Amino acid sequence: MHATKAAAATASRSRQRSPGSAGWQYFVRHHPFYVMLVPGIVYFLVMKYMPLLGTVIAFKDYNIFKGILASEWVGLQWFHQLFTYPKFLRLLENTLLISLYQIVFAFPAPIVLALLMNELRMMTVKRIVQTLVYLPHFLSWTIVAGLVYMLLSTQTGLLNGLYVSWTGNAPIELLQSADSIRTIIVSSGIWKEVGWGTIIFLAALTGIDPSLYEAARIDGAGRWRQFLSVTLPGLLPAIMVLLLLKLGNVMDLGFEQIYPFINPLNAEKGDVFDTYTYVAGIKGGQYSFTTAVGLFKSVVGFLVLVLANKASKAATGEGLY
Amino acid sequence: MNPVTVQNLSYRYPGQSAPVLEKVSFTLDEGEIAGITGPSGSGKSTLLRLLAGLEEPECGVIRIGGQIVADERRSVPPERRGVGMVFQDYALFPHLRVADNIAFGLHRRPRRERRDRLAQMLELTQMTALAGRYPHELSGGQQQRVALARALAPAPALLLLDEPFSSLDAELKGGLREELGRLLRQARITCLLVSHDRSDVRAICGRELALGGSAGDDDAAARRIVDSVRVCRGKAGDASQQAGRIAESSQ
Ligand SMILES: Nc1ncnc2c1ncn2[C@@H]1O[C@H](COP(=O)(O)OP(=O)(O)OP(=O)(O)O)[C@@H](O)[C@H]1O
Ligand SMILES: [Mg+2]
Repeated sequence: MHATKAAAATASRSRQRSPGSAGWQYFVRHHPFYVMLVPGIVYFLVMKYMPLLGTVIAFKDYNIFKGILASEWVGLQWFHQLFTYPKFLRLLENTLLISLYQIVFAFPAPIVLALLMNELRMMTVKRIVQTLVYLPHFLSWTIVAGLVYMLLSTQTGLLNGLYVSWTGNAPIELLQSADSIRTIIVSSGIWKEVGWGTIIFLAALTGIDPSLYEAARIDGAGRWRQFLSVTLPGLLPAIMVLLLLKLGNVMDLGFEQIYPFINPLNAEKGDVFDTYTYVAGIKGGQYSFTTAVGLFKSVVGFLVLVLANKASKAATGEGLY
Repeated sequence: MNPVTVQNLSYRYPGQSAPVLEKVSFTLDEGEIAGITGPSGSGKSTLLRLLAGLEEPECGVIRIGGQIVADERRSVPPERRGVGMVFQDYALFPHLRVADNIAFGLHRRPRRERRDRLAQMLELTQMTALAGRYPHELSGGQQQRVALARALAPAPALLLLDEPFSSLDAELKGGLREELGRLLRQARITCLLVSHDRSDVRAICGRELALGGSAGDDDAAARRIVDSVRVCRGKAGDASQQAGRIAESSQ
C-alpha cells in the first residue's frame, strides 16, 4: 500500500520535471471538457449525494424543529421497530410478490411486442402501431387508475355493466377484492409501459447484422431456428442489462402506481413498503422511521443487484459492471 | 452439363429505376474457380445474392446443378439451392463455438454423419485445435477459415465468396490468398469469388469475369459481363476458351 503510493508519488514527480506539469497541461488543453463536466457533477452532488447525508435521520429521532444535527441519536431503534412491526412480513411479501409478477409477466411483455412489431413489413403500419403503443406511457399513473376504475367499478364500470346486463348476475367486485388487486396492478402497469419498453428492444433488433439471418437461411434454418440462433442471442445483452436493473429495484414498486388502487378491502394484499412509507411517514409524520424503511429497501436492492450481477457474469459472461 | 448456368439475368432493387444487373450471362464448369471483378457498386454482391436465392431476379434463368433455381415464375429458396456462401464480414454466429458454427447447416443429418463431416471440415481448414473457441477469440484469417468450413460443410454444388479479403490487412492477405486457393482446389468445389482487387482474382481464380458499370460506358453493355477471359493457371485453360465463347454469345 505505502510502496505503491510512494511509487506513484515519484512517478508524478518525475513527470512534473518538464516545465509546467504534464497533468496541468493536459487539463489546460482540454479545459472545455472539464467545464462541460461541471453541471453534471453539481447535479449529482446536489440531487443525489446531499440527500444521502439526510439518511442519518434513520439513526436519529428526527424532529423538524430541532433540525437534523440537533436531533438525538437513537441507534438502530427504527430498524428494530420495523422488523418487529406486526405487518412487516405482510409488506415484505406483497412487495416481493408484486415485483416477482412484474419480472415474470411485465418484463418479457415488451420483448414479445418488439419481436411482433419487428415482423411488420409495411413502414406506415409500423409507424402507426409504434405511436399508438407509446401513447399510454405519457399518461400519469393516476389517470391509468382512473381508467381502470371506469372499466371495473361495480357501479359505473363499463365491463361490469356489460357483465351484469348480459348475465343478470351481481357485479364482480374486482377492485374491492384482495385476491385480484395484484393482478390489476401488474396488468394495468403492463398496459401503460409495454409499448414504451419496446423502444430499447427494437433498437437492439435493428443492431443485429442482417447477414447473420441470410447465413442462417442458406444453411436451412427456418423462422424458429433463426429466432433462436440469431434474434435471441442478439437481444440477450439488452435483456440481461434491463433484467439486472429491474432486480436492483425489487423493493421499489413505485408509489404512484399502487397507491390509487389501495383501499381497506384489498390492503391486505396490496400494501407495499412504498405505500406504507407514505402513510406512516408523510401522513403520520414519522420521518425517521420511514427513512429507516427506505434505507432498508435500498440495502436489499443493492445486495440483490450485486448478487444477480455476479450470477449473470458467471453464467453468461455479461454484467452491468 | 455445366453446374452453373446464368442466362440473361436482370435485376433491380425494389423502388429503383435503373437496373443493377442487365442481361448477365455466363457459365461455370465443374470444379472451376472463377472470379468476378468490377468497380464498387457494379452489382457484384447483388449477383451473388441472386445466385444464393436471397433476391429474386427480374428476368433471366439461373441453373445450379442441372436444376432451374430461378426464372420468371419460380424461385427455389436458398436452403434448397445447394449453395454455400462466405459473407464479406463472415457472418459467424457470435454466441456459437467454432464447431457449432461449422455444424450449423448439418442439423438435419444423422448425428454420426454430422460428427464425421464436422471433423473433416475442421481438418480441411486446420481448425481442429480451435474448435472450442468463440469467433471473437479468433484472428481474421481463422474466422475466414471457419466461415469457409461452415459454407462447405453441407457439401454445396456451388460456393460463393463475397470479398473474402476485404476485412484483412494487406500483410495477412498475401499468405491467405495462397491458402484459400489451395483449400478451394482441395475441396474440388465450383466456386465464384468476388473481389474489387484483380490481383486477388489472378492469384486464386482460373478465370476472371469482369462486371462493367463505370458511368461513362454504354448503359446496357456496361452491366453485362463483358470480357476478360484470362488464364492464370494452366489447369483452367479449356474452361477459359469456352467461357470466351459464352461471354461473346451473351453480347
Ligand atoms: N438494398 C438495396 N436497395 C437498393 N439499392 C441497393 C441495395 N443494395 C445495393 N444497392 C445498389 O445496387 C448497386 C450494386 O450494389 P452491390 O452491393 O451489388 O455492389 P458491389 O459491386 O458489391 O459493390 P462493392 O464492391 O462496393 O461491394 C449499388 O449501386 C447499390 O447502391
Ligand atoms: Mg459488395
